[in-house]
Amino acid sequence: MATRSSSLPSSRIGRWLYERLGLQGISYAVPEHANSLPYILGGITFMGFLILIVTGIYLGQFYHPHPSEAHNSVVFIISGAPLGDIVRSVHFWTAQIVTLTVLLHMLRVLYTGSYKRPREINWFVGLGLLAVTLGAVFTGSVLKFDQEGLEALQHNTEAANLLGGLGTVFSAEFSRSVPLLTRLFTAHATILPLAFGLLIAAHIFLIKQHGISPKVAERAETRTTAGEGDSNFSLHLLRMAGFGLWILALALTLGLLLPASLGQPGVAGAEVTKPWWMFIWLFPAEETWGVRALVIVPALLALLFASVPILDRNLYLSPSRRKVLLIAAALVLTVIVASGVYAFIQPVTAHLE
Amino acid sequence: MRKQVISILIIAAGLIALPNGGALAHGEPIIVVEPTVVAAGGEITVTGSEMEPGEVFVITLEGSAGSIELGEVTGTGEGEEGGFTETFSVPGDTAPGSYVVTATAEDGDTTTADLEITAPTEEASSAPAEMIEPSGEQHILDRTKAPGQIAGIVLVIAITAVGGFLLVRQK
Repeated sequence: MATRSSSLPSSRIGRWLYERLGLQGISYAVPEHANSLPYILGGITFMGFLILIVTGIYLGQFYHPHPSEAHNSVVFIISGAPLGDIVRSVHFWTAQIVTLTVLLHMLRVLYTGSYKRPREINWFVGLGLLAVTLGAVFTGSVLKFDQEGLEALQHNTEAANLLGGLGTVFSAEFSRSVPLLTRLFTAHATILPLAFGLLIAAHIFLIKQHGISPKVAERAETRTTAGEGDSNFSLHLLRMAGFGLWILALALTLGLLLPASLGQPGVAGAEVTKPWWMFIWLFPAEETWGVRALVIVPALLALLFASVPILDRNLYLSPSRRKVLLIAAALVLTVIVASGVYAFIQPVTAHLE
Repeated sequence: MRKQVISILIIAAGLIALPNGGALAHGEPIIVVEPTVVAAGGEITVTGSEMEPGEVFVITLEGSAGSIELGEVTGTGEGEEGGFTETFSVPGDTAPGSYVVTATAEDGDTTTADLEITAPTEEASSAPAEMIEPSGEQHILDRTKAPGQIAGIVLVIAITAVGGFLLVRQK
């Protein structure tokens, strides 16, 4: 087991901070491959969330979470609030990037067998983080309260009604003193970030406990790697920060060239828009089985993903020794992508009655 | 372990079986209110569908302050394709806030839709609320930025890109 002793910062301020903050504590050994791009996707996602929190706090100063004011306040953010348009666009594009990196991170974990013993619980925590991410994206898409947002809200209400008692909190009838839009804003700005904070703390704690999963090789087996490696975690953090700055640069560039869109004020009862790319793949299922597909399909997928560490329990990490599971996962992924492409090219059809 | 899993599944199934208020599932009566935001004193159009012809519904406005009866309406049509479209006036003295428009059938079944009521305006008390056509088009806004702002954003992009490059290259 080789470890690299961390070197002291060269500047006086750096050494002062290093000692006062006890930064030697984060310079523990990690395997070299932990700093490669596929294994740093989770860290990149985390940095994206930090950008989302900061930009979200700024947007919250101008957003009015009431159905009669929401759309107007977004118009004000774009046209009146200082730097409002670019901050909103950075928030929007970072959300798109984070959704992509969180999905890539999950696929990497699936491909490299990083969910295997003793990391099963962390796989479940990761699924929770995926749900929180998609929940935040969904509620965020409703908040602008344009036609697209209102249609998303109507789907939310119908899905809540299908869930019976489980969906009560997401239904308009739950609280007559506060509109559903306002409650979704509360979820977006407080409940989901809190859930994210708790889950990410558990995720990081479990990674620290077990170490990063071993590098994939033909005969590599899953095991704990805590305390092992030729690199160190402080370098991992620096690279995470570097990728975080790149996300910011990318979101700023996209925000400048393609500002986040806003549709016309929403009119209830109509369906003339399509959902965002991360939800559009559900469109064909909804077309076939009705709104109940919005509940059943994600629930089935969640069950399927949750069962991965239960079904695939051999110790091997190599994809060539886990062909059945990976082929099944590839099939599921292909169906999702094909559904998304089909929905993208199809004309809009109404599902809500 | 198995017992706990079974218990959780039973509880979840029980919760799903519980109603959560007005059901809006397919095949059951539903109502749509337009517009969804109206000033007190304005008018709303309530459209019901998936109803039996001849079925009578009481339309009420329910909010935190209480319930206001707007009127009665009878479903028309044939077979299971019955429904109604009726315009109601929102009383001018209705307090602004969030309301639920409820259609209650004679057998007690209800179906609901959200309605936001704002403070009354002169227009609202004298004319129907403006009906807006649904549109997937973009809201066109002037999004041109001052040259100084663009320069500042480009500078931040450059700084973050270079900073990121230096940090990612760390060995």
